[in-house]
Order: sequence, then C-alpha cells, then structure tokens
Amino acid sequence: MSDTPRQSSSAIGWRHLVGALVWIAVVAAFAFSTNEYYAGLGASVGLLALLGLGMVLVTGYAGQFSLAVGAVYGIGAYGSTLLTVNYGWAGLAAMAVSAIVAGILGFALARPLFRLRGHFLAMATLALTEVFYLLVNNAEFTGGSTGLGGIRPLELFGFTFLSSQSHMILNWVVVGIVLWGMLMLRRGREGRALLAIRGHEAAAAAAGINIASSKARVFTASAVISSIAGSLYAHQVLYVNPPPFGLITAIEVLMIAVLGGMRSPWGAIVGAIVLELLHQLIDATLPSILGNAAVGAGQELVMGLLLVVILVLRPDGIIGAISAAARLGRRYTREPGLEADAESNAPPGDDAPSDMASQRRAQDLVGIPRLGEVVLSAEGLAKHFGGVTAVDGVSLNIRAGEVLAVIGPNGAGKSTLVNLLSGNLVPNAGSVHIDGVDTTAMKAHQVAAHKLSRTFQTPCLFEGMDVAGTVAVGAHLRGSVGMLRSSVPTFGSLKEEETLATEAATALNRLGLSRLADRDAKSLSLGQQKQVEIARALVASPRVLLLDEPCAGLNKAEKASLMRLLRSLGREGMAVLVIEHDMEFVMAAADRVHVLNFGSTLRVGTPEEVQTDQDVIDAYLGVAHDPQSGHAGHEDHMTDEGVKR
Amino acid sequence: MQLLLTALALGALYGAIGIGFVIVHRLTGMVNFAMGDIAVAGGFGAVVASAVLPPLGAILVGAVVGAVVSVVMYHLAIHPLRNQSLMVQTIVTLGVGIAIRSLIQLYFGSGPRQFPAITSGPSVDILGGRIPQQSLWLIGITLLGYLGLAYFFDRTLSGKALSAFSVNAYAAGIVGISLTTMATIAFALSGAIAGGVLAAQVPTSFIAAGAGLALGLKGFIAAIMGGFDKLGLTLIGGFLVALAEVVVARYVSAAQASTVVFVLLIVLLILRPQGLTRQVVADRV
Repeated sequence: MSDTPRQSSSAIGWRHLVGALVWIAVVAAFAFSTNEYYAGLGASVGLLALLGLGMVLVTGYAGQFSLAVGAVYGIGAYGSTLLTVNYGWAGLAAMAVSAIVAGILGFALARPLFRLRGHFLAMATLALTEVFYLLVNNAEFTGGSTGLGGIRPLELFGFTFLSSQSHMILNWVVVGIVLWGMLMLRRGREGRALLAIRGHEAAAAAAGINIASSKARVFTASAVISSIAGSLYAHQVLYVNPPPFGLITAIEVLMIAVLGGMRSPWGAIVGAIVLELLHQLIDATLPSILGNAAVGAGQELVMGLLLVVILVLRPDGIIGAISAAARLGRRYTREPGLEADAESNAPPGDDAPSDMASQRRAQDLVGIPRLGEVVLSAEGLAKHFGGVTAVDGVSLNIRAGEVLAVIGPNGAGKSTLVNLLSGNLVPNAGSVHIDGVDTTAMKAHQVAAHKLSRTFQTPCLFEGMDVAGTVAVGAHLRGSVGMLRSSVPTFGSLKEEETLATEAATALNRLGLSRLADRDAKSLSLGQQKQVEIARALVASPRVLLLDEPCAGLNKAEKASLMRLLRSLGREGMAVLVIEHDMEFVMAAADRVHVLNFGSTLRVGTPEEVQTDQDVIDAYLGVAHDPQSGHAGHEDHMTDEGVKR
Repeated sequence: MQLLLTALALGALYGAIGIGFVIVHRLTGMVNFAMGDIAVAGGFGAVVASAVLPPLGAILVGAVVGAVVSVVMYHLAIHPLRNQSLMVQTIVTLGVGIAIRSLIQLYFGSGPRQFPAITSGPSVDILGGRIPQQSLWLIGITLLGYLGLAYFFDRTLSGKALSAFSVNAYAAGIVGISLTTMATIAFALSGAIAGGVLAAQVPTSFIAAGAGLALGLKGFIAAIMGGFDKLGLTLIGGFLVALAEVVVARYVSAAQASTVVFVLLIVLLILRPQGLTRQVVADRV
C-alpha cells in the first residue's frame, strides 16, 4: 500500500488494465463453463458482494455501523420496478433515478444521524430498514406483501440481459468496478481521511478533516451502490416483494462483511462467496436433521451463531487472517535490517555538549528567530466543566517566530487551553483569533484550515495505519481531490497523491522517522508515537503549532533534538506553543514562558524570569520554597511529572 | 381513558425493556440488540413453567430465564470481545439476538403461546375505562422492579459500586471492583426485568417467537427518552411510546402503528437524542 505513490502513473495504468482483463476473464470463464442454475447463483452472489462492498465502505472504512442497506437496496429494486412497469422508463434511466433518490435520502439522513454515537446510528438505520419493509408491505402501490411483477429484463446498447450467464457477468463487472474504486479510494487522501475518522475522530478533525461531511458522503456513496444492486436484482428476478429488503438481508450483508473482513473491500467478495457456500451446505444438510420446515429458522440460527463465533475468533474476518499471516512472513524477512538502520540514525551533533542549555546557545548562533506579527491571540478564555472551572480568563499572544512554553502544575488547565485554541472545545467566554480571523466558535477542522496544527497529550494515532499514512493524514488540507476523483484516479489526483507523499516523507525525515515509515503507527513506542504526531502536524505547514507534552517518552538525546527542531521552526517563522513539564527542555526551547495555575495566568516572562519567580516555585511545590532543598530538588519534582504520563 | 389504560399496560412492558437497555448501557456502554429477544426467551420460559407452576411462579421463572440467557450471552459472546471496539461488541449482540430468536422458533414454532392470568375474573373499571386484572399485575410488577432497581443503584453499596464502575471502569478495577462480576450483574438484572415483565404480559395477549425485534426497538425508544441513563424517565418514555402506538392504531390504521412508532424513533434520534433528559448524549473529547 505504501509503495504505490512512488510508481509512475503509466505503470499503475498498465497493472490495472491487466487486473481488469483477468477479472473479466475469470468471471466469463466461470459463467460460460457452468449451467444456468449455478450462473444464477453466481449472479446473486455478485449482488450480495455488491451490497457487502457498500457495507465495508460505511462500516469498515469509516467505522460507522449502519443497517440501512435493506432500505436502500429496496429503494433501488422498487424504484426500478415502479418506473419501468408503471411509467415505461428505460431500465438504465430508472436505475439512475433510483440511485439518486437513495443517495439523496442517504445524504439527508446522514448529516443528523452521524452526530450520534455508533450504536444509536445502528438502531436508527435498523429502524429505517424496518420502516421501509413495513411501508412496502402495507402500501397499495407497491403491491403489498404479494409484490410486483411484469418487470422486463435490462437492456443495454441493444443487448438484453436475459440469461443467468449475462446476469452473472454484468453483476460481477459492476462488483469489479466498485471494488477497484474502493481500492483506489483507500490509497488516496479521502480514504486516509476515512480511516483516520474510524481511528480517532478528534485527531482527524485536528488534521482538518470535516468529519460530518466525510461520513455523509461515504454513506451516500454506499446508498448509491446498494440501490444499483437493488435495480439489478429487480431486472434479474423480474419480480419484487418485501422480504428480500428486510432486516434479515441487512444482517446477511453485515455477516458478509464480518465474515470476509471489514478492513478490505476484498472481504466483501470473499465473504459473499463463503456465505453462499455455507447456505448451500445448510440447505443440503439441515432438512435431514430437523425436517424441511426448519430451513428458514435454521438458516437464521446458523447465521446468528456464525456472526458470534467469527467475531469471537477472528474479528477481522478471513481477509484479516490472511493479511496477518502475510505480515508475519514479511516481518521475519525484514527485521534484521532494522537495527543497523537505527545506528546510522543517531542524532547529529553527538559530539556537541550534551546539556540542552549549551545546545540552545549553539542553536542561537545559527540565527535567532526574528519576531514577526501576532499570529494567534486569545482574549479572556474561560471553560467550565460542570462546576469545575478548568480555564479562567486566560489571555495570550503568540508571534511568528516565537516558541511559547505553557507550564503549570497538573490540573492547571494547560491541555484544556490547547483544546480551546484548536477548536476541540468551545470556550464559555473569551475569543481566539488567528491572523485576525475570529476562530472562537469554529470546529476543529475549520480552525485547522486557518493553519493551526496540534498534537495530543496521549498520542492519538489511527488504528491499522502505517507511519507514512498517518503523517499523510496531516497533509489533508494540502490536497483537494475528493472521493469521486480518488476512486476513479485521474492524472491530477495521482499527481497530487505523489506530492502529498513527498511532503509526508519530508516531514518524517525531519523528525528522523523515515526508517519507520512502513511500520504500524500504533505499534511504536510512546516517544516515537509522539514524534509521529509532530510530523503529522508539521506536514500541514502550519502557521501555529500547538504541542501538548511532546517530551513524554523521549530520552535525553531525543529531547535535545526536539528542542533544536523547535528552535529551527521558530527561525522559519512558525508560531509554536508547547506544553511541557520537563523544565530543562522548557528553559532551553522557549523564548517566553506562560505559567498557569488553577486555570489562570500566574506569570508570563522569559525562562530566566520565570525560573526564579517565587510564586511559580510555590505553585509547583505547593509549599513555601525552602532555599536549603535547592534548585535540584525542584527540578526532580518536575521531571517526575513528565515521566508519570 | 380506555386508550390511556391500554397504553399504561403496554408502556410498562416497553419501559421495562427500556430499563434493560439502560442498565446494560449505563454499566458497560453497550447497546444490547438482543434485549427484545432475551425478553421473549423469558416469556417462553414462563410459558413452559406454567405447565407445572401457578402463573405467579411462572412469571418468576420467566425473570430467571431472562437473567440466565442474558448472563450466558455475556460470558459466551461479549466477554471474549471485551478488548474489541464497542462496534464489534454491538454487532455480536445482534448475532446473539438472531440466534435466540431462531432457536425459539425452531423449538416452539412461530405460533402464539399463552398461559392463565394470576387472578382470573372480569376486567376492572377505572374512570370509565376497562383494564384486565392481569394488566394491573403487569404494571405492579414493573413498578416493583423499577423501585427495586432504583433502591439498589442509589442506596446499596453494590449498586453504588456499579455506578462507580460505569463512570470509570479502569479506576473501579483499581479499587477492586471486578469488571466481569459487575457486567454479569448488569446483564442479569436487565434480563430479569425484561423477561419477568414480558412474562407477566403473556396472559393478557400472547407471545410469539418473532416478537423480539419490535419489542427491542420500542424498548430502545423508551431508553432514549430516558437519556439511556434515568430509569424513571425510561418508564415514562415507554408509556409515551405505547400511547403513540395505541392512538395511531385507534385513529389512523392498526397496520401502520408500528411504522409510525419506528419513524418516531428516527425523528427522535435526529431531533432529540437526549430524550426527556437535559444532558446531551455525546462522546467526551
């Protein structure tokens, strides 16, 4: 996955052409080598695979558990039926209009529904499918429970899709197109955004991803796919009645996605085929055990139990099991090279004096950052949580080229302050301006668009994403290719993808993480995870950078190189705010120090001023400063705080 | 008045299932999609027990069966997945629900079942409406269950421990509250109240294997009304759901009553996910 962006576009095109030809050849070979009955089965498996793809898109890619598939599948089927039978529309036009209706419904419902937590969404979509079922079952114009017939086979360019063989080929070609689009989508900017949303919503928003919009668009896309499957169904079975569009179908599709694996679109294909084989097996064996009457309930029982058993044994499905095995194999072949790599990556300037203060002096010889205009200014910020006031009237300015450290005892409101500045929390009072624009009430992704990036106190990385991908998420706002363009890769979208990959690689290199690029981000050590977060923030090339305890988990050399990084970011004109407990780091990295205590400002000054301030020392130690215990004890205490995390 | 009385009895049932949802959600953060089917399992347990026991004993058996099914489900399906995401845990409850439903159908068939009322005799007149004696029992049992649970959660040490657990499972674990024990209690209580109250309703109407889904959805609406937190508001929510259903069935169309109620669910989720409570149901950042 991570090697693709570096390939030239023509090579990609060539490989995809071959893939498409192989796909068609396999499908055609199967269709023509079997009889009508098995081709018909193949056709219906194709439809299930298509529905499964829609499910993987919403549930696997974006992590939203939806059971609306029954309803949107039904909209396609009933839409096509009503339009062609009652109004004499052409099949393709009816299919398109039904898909548009399903898409609009999906979009309209998605915006409000996706604000809800996962299981509420599941219940709402379950109700939607049940409502659809009850409506078509009771309404006159849909033929009630008897359903509607008289549908003509689909005609395309003068060819009539009459035989099961033609149905099977048609369905699997559509499956192939959707599969390809989803594979391409996953590689691109929007696909990464979806994975990021699934992994960690707050971090995705901080990277500038509009979560509500992404979810709504992916839900709409899934509704359109399911609706097309419904239209195909109507034109192949030539008769529609309510049962295929009820909850059982929704659960069967869920089953397909779970069985095959949610993380990959291949899971839907594998799941659909395996499920059909299981159904055949049950049909063949169950009547002899429980009698013919038991088949319906027996099928459901097996499905329910299977759903449980698979989730308990292998929550990532068949594809998950396969790729885990493949990863294990790769790990063994690659591990030895890693150690040598790490050696060569020792921080530069190891022979330089090791204490940070002298390193800072060496840095300042390179050039002292020139203070520019105020980039971020906060005025009287306040935030209450119930009765607790976390931040109480804090004002601060950060200028371009300045590193501002925010320190204070635990519970002083530092992280809340960062959350207020970044739009992850909305203040109860006060205002935030970035470059003169009022961002107080903006959501996190909008604030990010005003060139503010941040990291989190506990690293918020995305599950199942490698380091390069994680960092590329940070470049979200640097690109503009949407879902449609990245699933049907145009030349422009491929080029943009290459640019983003280069920018991500540059940011990784800057933090010395290049050798970890293809590792799973969540498998790294705490210190490495925090550095990945910094790279993710930097790749957006922000004007303001907020770092929440970046030193946690770093060793002394790593802290020193982070300090040098902050100094050079300042020289480049970035405004940096850093929360940190490690006083040696703060004193070396910061131009100014802002001390918080009990949610309000205690002192603002240069590192030297703050270091010797009696109030600050009292705040940290909680008692009057005892000159006898000396400076060292004071510092130890603070280092402890940093380590505790 | 007649509508109100009918809705009161039906609402007690929905409210009880809603309370089952709320208890599990409060203590584990999950939504148990098998809730309705667990209640139905309790109902059928009572049907079987009624062959040898008096109705009141059968209802008690119903509660026990509900609790046992619920606990077994937790240990077989949910406990092994405790480290997985909430989404996976929720999907698994859906699978369990289907399995329970189809098992009942395989064993008992899809036909309706019934057993005699606790006290036989004519319906009671209340302010011009008539209500079967069994419905009064049903309401009484629900209220008893509610009061018991409310007392348990607010007044007893174990109940408070459960509440602590729900606020922060990790911290609760540190002070010696076992995740498994607490979740077991939560599932047992939710299964018992849902199973017992549904069993109490069986004599007034009947019970069928496929009833679980609709019951679960309606109980879910009641739980939303209670903000997935407040037991009392959930009961009121159950009554409102039942009232809406009864009114639509009476004045619009009996066939569309469920449709309207489910549409109500979607609208409620969109417009007022916090239900009758004031707090907003949202994830912490």
